[in-house]
Amino acid sequence: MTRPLPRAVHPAAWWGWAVGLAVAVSTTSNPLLLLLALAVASLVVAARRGSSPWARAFRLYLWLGLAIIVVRLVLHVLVGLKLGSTLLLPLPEATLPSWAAGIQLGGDVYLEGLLGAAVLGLRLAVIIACIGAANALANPKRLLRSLPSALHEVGAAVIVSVSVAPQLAESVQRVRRARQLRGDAGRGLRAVRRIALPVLEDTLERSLLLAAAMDSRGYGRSGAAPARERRLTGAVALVGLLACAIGLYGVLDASTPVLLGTPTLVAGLALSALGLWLGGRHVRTSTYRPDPWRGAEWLTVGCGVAAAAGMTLVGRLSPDALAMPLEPLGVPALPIVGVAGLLGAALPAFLTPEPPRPAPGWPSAGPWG
Amino acid sequence: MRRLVTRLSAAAAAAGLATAGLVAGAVPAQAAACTGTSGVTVVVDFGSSTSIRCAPGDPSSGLAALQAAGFSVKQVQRQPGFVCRIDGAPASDPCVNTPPTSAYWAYFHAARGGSWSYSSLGAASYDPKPGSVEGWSFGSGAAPGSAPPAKTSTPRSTPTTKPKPKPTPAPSKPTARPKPTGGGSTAGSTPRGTTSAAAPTGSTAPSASATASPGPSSTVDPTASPSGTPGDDSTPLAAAPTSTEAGGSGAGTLVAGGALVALVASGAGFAAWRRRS
Repeated sequence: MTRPLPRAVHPAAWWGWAVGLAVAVSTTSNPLLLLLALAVASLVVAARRGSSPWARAFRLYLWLGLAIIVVRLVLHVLVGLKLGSTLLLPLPEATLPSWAAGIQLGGDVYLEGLLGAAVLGLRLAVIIACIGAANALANPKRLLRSLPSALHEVGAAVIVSVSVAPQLAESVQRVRRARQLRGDAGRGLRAVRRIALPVLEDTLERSLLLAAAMDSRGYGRSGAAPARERRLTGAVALVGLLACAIGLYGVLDASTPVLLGTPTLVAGLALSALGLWLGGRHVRTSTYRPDPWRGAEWLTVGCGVAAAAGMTLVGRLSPDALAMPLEPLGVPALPIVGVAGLLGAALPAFLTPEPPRPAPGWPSAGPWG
Repeated sequence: MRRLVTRLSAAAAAAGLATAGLVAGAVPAQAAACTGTSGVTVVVDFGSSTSIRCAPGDPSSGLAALQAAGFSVKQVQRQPGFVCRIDGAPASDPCVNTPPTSAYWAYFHAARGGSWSYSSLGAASYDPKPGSVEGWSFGSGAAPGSAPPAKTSTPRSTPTTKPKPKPTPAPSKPTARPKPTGGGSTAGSTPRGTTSAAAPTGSTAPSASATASPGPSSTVDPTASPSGTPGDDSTPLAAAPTSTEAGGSGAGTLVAGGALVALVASGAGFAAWRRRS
């Protein structure tokens, strides 16, 4: 078997994979499945992340998830509803006036309630880790090309803003390295003063480079559409978005009329798509090195969808297997379909082409990653 | 420990009572309204039938009273503290999300012989006073079909089958425990396809007061012992297992799952280490 040539997998494929994994995670509060999903996401990130600055951000998302769990536990002890029968920590409870009924300040902490809070925090942490995995695996600048052309202006602004922080961090590293090579290993406040100006200059220079590159490919130019058509496009997109919002509300709330649900949502989506198409007709952008969509992309998206589908199937057949049994406290189940789906989501770590490595000694990639 | 004991006995009682809506005499101490001023009377309106039982002692919360009275309770998977099923009803609800507003267990309080009032607290938060009545009614929030049972004057003799009354008084919580969730005070917002028995106002059979003779409500029970009555704490019978959840087969599942997670995580660690070196 020949190894495929190193290339970056399409960013939209990574996002599809990550969203599928996040959907799978959101259906369950089973800690075994949650930890398995976290391990799978970490494995894929470790095996297939690129070398750009944001590719190293996955660790930050893990720390954020840990902070979420800790905050969840602290809030449970402070104001949570303490359920359960196994007393863990006897604490005094503040008596609140009747108008504040609904808040339990303090009170005995039970094992069941604490475990439930920890599992809910873990679920949110793993969902955030999934999104972090997508951020680490997919190059946001490359994702911009896959957006519909009508959204390019918004997309360009978003991309520039989200890539400022990692670029700033990288600039700091580069300037510090350069200073150390010259024998200036200064630390503390004085070093900050000496580093700040080069960093600012470096960041500005790179932003200008990015802006020039985007401008040369047609981004940021207003289209040549006549005023009447622009107004029509805006009206269609606005009505479409409104219909989407109303339709979503109708779908989620069972007490609204049926007509307000799915039909409105579908109509809103169609109108939004029409507005995007109308708006994008007059925008011309060109692409340098287009990202192909081949078998590896289909495989990546398919693995994410399979994970979500497996977990949804388990939820239909035996919803108890997806829950942490708290009342009475028990060992969580290990549903075979759900586990198989999650393990399948790890396949992109082995079956997709490796990301291209920068040549040794070469500075990090240019404005287009 | 005591709460565990009461729950075990409650589960055993529920096993005996699960088939028929009202079987007077199966668990004699609980299958009627409480006598005297101790214990919390629990009225559950299933729509087609009404069940009245007594939770002995001073349960710490409405949820504990429901369980101590011998009803089996299943909570919503994603909203712990929210009552989803009582004695297996409604069976159509998967108990994953909160039930819809048209088919949930509404939670009420009342004094003996008084009138129902909708609870502003969740069942896990409200601490019912001994001698009061708790009402549960399935449907769209209507009060239970039968009125709260009136006060009884004649103390019924406790059942003779009681093997060993435990003299420990209930470890009553000193303060009320306010908290929003649970009990049905939250409106469910999940679309649900079918909900059977959505009509809460069925023909409720008021035959539950067969054993408790309703006396004049003014008479005060003279025999209410102030020293903490032992209650009807029947010790666990032949250890009926509590609710049989699909909770896996114990340690084997835990080890297998842990090993799987460790394997994948070590793979991730190895990949990261190889990249760095």
